[in-house]
Amino acid sequence: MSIEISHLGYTYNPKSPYEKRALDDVTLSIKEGDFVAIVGQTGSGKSTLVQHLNGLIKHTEGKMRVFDIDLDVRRPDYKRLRFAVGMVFQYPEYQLFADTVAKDVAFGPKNAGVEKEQIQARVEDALRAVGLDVAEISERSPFELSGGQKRRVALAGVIAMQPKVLVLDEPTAGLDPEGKKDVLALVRTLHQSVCPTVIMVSHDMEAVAEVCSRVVVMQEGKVLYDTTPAELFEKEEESLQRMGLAIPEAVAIANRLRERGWTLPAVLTPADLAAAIVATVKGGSL
Amino acid sequence: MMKDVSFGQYYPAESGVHRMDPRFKLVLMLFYVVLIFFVDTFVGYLAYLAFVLLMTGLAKVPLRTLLRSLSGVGVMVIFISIINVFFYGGGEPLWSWWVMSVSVESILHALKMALRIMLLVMGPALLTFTTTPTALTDGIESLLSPLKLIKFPVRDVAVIMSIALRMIPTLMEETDRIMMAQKARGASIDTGNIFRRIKALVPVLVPLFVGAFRRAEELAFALDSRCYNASPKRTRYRILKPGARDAVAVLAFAAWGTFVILSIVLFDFDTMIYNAISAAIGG
Repeated sequence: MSIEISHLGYTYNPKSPYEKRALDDVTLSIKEGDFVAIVGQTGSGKSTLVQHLNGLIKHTEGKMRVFDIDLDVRRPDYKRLRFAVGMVFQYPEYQLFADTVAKDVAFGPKNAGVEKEQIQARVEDALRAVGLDVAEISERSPFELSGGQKRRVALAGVIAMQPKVLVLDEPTAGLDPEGKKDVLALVRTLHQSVCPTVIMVSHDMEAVAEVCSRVVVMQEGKVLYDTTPAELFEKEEESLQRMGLAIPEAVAIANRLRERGWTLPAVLTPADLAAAIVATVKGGSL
Repeated sequence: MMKDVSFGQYYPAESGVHRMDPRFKLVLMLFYVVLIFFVDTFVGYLAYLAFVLLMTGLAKVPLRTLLRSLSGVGVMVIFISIINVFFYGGGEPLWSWWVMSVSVESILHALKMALRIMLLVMGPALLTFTTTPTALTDGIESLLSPLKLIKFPVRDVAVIMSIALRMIPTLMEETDRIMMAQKARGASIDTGNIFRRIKALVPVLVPLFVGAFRRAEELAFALDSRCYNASPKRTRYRILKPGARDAVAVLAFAAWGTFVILSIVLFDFDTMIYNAISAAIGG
């Protein structure tokens, strides 16, 4: 198991008028190779949960273990945890600070104590991994790049730490459809090539359907569902809608067809749907 | 971590003090602050303390919250008290060494200085606990409006002030977020010696400033596109109206103020305490 969490709870500003229960009895385990989506409404505790994963929030209730790092001991090894779980925040491009792209990407590995000669190689690998041209970009100022490029540089800054788990908070927020597609494709590539375990917080069910193999739905600080996207969208369409989470259109169409008596296999994307419809019509079951 | 700073933070509660006209609160607080510099007797400080505690009770602000406002000046209070105890110089020395001496008078003086600073902080803190930043700027704007006669841009200044106040929590949140993001990349912001810490702030400050300028620009465009300054006379959404509550507050404050002033002019409480203590020690 990569990450094991049991009965995790968290309250912001305890004993004040701003007190807020953010997590309540969350039990979750994530295996190596998982591509997990964490979805839920604003304020459902998604961000609080993922901030626990690399120790940005120190857990106060429940038990946690990430790889061989036990977080229940008196002085957990937060430093090692930070480098084992790479965290990409929402709008990561707003945290760029160095005068060149290479220096910004090198920040993480440098903090990790990686040797100088290796840092250079890591920076180049990370920039290549996010699909940027090393020679062209590494000596430019991050502030003169386009929005999409900035986000890739920020992502490279985390990849360069070579984390074993990558956590992404709304990686597609604020992007146009084209940019969204690019980033999703990139995240999928990273999952296959660089970082085997990926956790993605998202509002975007289309994105979840497309890339994730498992989905955790949070509501009011609790885990409501923990299943595969196909099963979730097929069975819990209504309850997701009540939470303001629209299921992917292809799945919605499939669900409507099923209501009219079609028997369709699980579908997630428009391509799946088209194939399923063609197969059904050709098979002559209608 | 930044969210813990309690000075200047609104404490939401339903109370008469919260509902008071901000202008009255501001003016009364001004009197409170000015008057404390004339108070030099323990009776006077006692009256001040009673005032602060009574207001805290009426405003339904927990005592803990009020005391937390002092955490920022704790070091200063201790420092000033120590300096005063040892270097006040007056009175009959109980103990002396080199240029330092301690006397009953110096201890009493130090105590008074400490009380003065703490009361000086708690009063305005109480004002900000019970008044939202917007109400405060509305009040200041209204109080400054006579300056319009000399072409002082009161309204613009008020808008600038309220935007600045409005941005404080946003910037704090942003600071928190950037700090977290850099910590996630292994930055150690709260460890190491002072030079290291300053150097470690660069990855936080640069994005913070870049973000602040970005926000300012967006806000300026937004103001422009809504025709800010297009009409000479703007109406307002919240209109301040003093009520019976404010009259009662002014009367009560006047009575309290009279007592404080009398305590300054008439009583010589200090000498009484001093005599009593010296008598006890000497006897």
